[in-house]
Amino acid sequence: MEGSSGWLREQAVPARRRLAATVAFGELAGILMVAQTGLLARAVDAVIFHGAGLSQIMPLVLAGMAVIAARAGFTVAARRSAFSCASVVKRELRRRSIWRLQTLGPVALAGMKAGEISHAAVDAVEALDGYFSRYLPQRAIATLLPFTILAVIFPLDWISGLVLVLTAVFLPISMIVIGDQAHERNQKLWGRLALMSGRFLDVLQGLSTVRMFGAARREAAEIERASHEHRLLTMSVLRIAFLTSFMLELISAVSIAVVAVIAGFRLLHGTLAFGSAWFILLAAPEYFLTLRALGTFYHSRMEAMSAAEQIQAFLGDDGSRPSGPGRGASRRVAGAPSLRLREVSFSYGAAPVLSRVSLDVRPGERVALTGPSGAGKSTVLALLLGFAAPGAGHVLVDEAPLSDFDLDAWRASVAWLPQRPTIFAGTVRDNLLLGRRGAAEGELHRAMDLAGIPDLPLESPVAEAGQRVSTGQAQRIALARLFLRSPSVVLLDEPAAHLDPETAARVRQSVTELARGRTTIIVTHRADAVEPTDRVIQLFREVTE
Amino acid sequence: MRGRPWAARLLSLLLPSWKTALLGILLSTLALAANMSLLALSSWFITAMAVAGVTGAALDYNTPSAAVRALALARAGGRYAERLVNHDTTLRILSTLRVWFFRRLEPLAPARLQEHRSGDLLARVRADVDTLDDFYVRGVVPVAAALLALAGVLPFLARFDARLPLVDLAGLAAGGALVPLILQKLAARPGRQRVALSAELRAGIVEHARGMAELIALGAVKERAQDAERVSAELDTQEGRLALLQGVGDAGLIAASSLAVWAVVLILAPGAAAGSMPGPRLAMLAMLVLASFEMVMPLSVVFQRVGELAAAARRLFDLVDSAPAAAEPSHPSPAPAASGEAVGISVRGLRFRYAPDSPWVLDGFSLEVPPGAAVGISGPSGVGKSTLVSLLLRFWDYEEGSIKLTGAASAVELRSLRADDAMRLFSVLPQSPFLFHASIEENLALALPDGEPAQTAALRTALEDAMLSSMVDALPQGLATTVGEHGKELSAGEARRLAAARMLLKQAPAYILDEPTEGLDDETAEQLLTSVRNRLRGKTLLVISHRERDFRIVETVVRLG
Repeated sequence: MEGSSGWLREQAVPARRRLAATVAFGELAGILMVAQTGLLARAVDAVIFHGAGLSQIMPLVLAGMAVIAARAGFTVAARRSAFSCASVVKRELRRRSIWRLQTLGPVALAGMKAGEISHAAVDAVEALDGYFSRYLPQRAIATLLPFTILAVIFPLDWISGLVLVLTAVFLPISMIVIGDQAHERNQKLWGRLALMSGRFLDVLQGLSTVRMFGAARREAAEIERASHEHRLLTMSVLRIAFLTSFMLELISAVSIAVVAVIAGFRLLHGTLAFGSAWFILLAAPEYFLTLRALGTFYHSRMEAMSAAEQIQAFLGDDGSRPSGPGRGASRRVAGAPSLRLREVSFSYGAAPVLSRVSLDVRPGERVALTGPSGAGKSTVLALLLGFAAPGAGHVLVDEAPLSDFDLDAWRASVAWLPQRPTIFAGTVRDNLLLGRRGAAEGELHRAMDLAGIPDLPLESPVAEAGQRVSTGQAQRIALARLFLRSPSVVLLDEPAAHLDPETAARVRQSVTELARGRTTIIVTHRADAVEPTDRVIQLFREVTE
Repeated sequence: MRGRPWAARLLSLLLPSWKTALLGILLSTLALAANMSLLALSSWFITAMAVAGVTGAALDYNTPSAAVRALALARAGGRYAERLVNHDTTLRILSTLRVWFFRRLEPLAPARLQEHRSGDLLARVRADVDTLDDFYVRGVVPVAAALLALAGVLPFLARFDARLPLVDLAGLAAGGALVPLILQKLAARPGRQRVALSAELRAGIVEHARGMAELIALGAVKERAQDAERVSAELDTQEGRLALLQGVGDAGLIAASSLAVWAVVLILAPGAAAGSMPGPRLAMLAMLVLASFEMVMPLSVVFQRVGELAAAARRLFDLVDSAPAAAEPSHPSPAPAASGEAVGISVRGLRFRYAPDSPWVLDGFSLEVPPGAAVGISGPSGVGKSTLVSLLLRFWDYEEGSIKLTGAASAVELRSLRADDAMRLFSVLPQSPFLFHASIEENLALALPDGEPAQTAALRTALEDAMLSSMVDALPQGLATTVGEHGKELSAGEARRLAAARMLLKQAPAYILDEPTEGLDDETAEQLLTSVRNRLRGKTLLVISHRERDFRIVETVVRLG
């Protein structure tokens, strides 16, 4: 908890000047409110006790109008300025979240739910809004403005002033005691919310599977059960969280009652001027309103603290700057390099995938990598691409460790077709242009020809996970993307897996074209359909010594 | 807000919680009334005491001072109870909304959901439903409570001077309704854009994460990240516009309340000077008018959010209102076979296309599968093999031709079956099976009928048949191991075999395997096919593939294309 409040303060640093402006506008609006109340009290006093007519109070009325106009102006300025405080912080955090995805890298991202990622980068950041646009400015105003009001009240009537001060002292105490308890429960709630968010998306994505198995009723019951649990949990937090505002309401209402009763008796005995008493009665609700607003926004603070923890967890320590892997390393490949794995071991978490695997591909050689499913064929490609580093052993390119290479430049010289290619939402053209920005129309058509999709319209939209196009077609779009590149190394993961024999034959021809003069590894599990290669390397599941 | 269909439909979703909703509104009104009374009475009290002090007249001060204290307690207690009740109601409504939305969406899958990216769909369900959540607590409650409070205040003011309720109402209407309404018009566009942009940002970020490996390999990370940053900046611009309008609304309310109080003083001053309006009364009425503005304070939020609310509600309702791709029959036939039996499939002259202007995917397709037979369908990709599966499951409706299902009891046209009944006839291993981000056990248990507890033994047998038991046994958490989003923590082959186990676990008269050994090595494929054949003996079996090896377990093969 302390960690996240410190973190939140750090985030506020770039917004410091905007914050100061917001507080200044708010305070000025408050001072004008006091002035207006004073004018009104004087007018009422004049009418009731001094028999003043309309003409006598007219100067007060006009002054009142001027004050109202100025107060309205400062109110607008304060709100606009408060927005910009939050905006500076939120935009920066969103920016860092977006770049954080790159730092995390594909391996770590694969283990995270889509809902968790979008929750941390968008919703949790949004949950900070109230903290920066309301809580922080209001906290400063809530400190300044009550003193301003008291400074006016004390000279008029110190007894009422004392009542207001004494009752207000209870506020921070009750807020801290209650707030801490509420925060503890609130944290549990946020964890669950993120969980629910991920789960709900997952169920929606698998909706047709839910249908196929006739499990809709069960899933609906599950959603209802989760919502019910969520409600009970939230209410248990709110019962305590709302106690803060209950205390604020109670203290302010009781305080007004006490001020009114005491003032009443002193008026009866003639020891207090009516104008002062009525001014105090008008100003007292405003005095507490400021403090009460803080209580309302205190909720924003708790919400922000929990959200901050999630954002912190997501951004990690190095969230501020994308540390491009292989920084400082500058080696580049020239021409088709040799590729070599020496005694490489690798495991995903606790599950070993590769254990002391060695393989050797000569410059310009075309090699098929086969083996049973689960033998780690795709992992070999991930290691060569630098998505993951081996647990032990070495990945060598042109006999130099991959870590010596400028990774961006290295990857730019590799054409990689993953087993399950991602087709990005947009048109076919958008997807192809990812292969090479600014590719000419003719090049796009040639690439599609080579990939076996000559007739696919470039402008046709493609939805998520390649749903509009079949799996085979998604693969061919991804393949076409590669034909736009001019790589030194070609890594293909099951390039013909989803294709019928005829298309597969065509694609195989194109692949032969792509592989010419380039160091090529083609992953395939089917011994019967090995691509035209120079050599077959067999990878076994568990390598036992 | 009233009268528009979306608002009416939202209100109807409140109906199950109407009791707590009503209680919340009454408590909210009570809290408003207590505060107004407290301030007005206090004002009257101190003025009366001051007058008594000057004139020396006698005054019963015990009753009002006790009333002042009682009102203070009623105010605080009422507000606390109101907030608890209303938040509880809100969460009840949220639950209703989620379940309702899920149930309405389910018949639309997958045909009507393909235009939406799943990140976007998430935005619709979660953010839109959360936005709609405000409808009650920030919309219905303050409006209803304000109207009730107004019904008490205005007649009370009228008892003293006919002009007072007019002044109060004018101030309340201007500050609480007119200015906010104008602002709402101005906020409608930025509000809509804000919702759309944050949905776009979410979808963009999810896609960025999902495609990271390829974006890195293609050197396109920076470009796509900058796209997302642009959306983020645009979101800020719209939020800034909304904030400015909010500021104007706040200022309008402050100005309206101040002007109304001054107006009351000006109206009553001549009477006070003439002696017809007692001082305590004037002080009380001025204070009451000032305090009455509390009731419209939350209204500005209502108007500010109404644009967003309407956009969210319309999108949500539009989505669920789209008709399922396969219409339910008006007089459904009973299922031709029970889960323990087999069903024959007879397809004649089937024609189908995804849209009226797109090419035929199936054009005069025929197929004959007797009950209990095993038939293979082969052909190049794009020839409509997988489409046939979607038609059999009634995900889509065929345009021409007929699909007859023959069981021991009867023979029916597929179209005359309810979609749920049609789906009960088949257990399918799709070409790209979906695995839930849940445990292996939960993924398997999906195949069990409603209300049947997961028998570990049955699950284990299914895993064994799918050549997965040794893999699962080797896992430290065994069946409880989570498989990752879309089964990403499994290899493609393992994921397929888990889906195969799930397919085998479901008891159905017919089984459909679409590319069953995709991504499997020869040996594993061989074993899987053998156990499928053994386990499904006597059931109708349809194997769709472009691999010859998969047809080892069928009796005849139909070649397409």
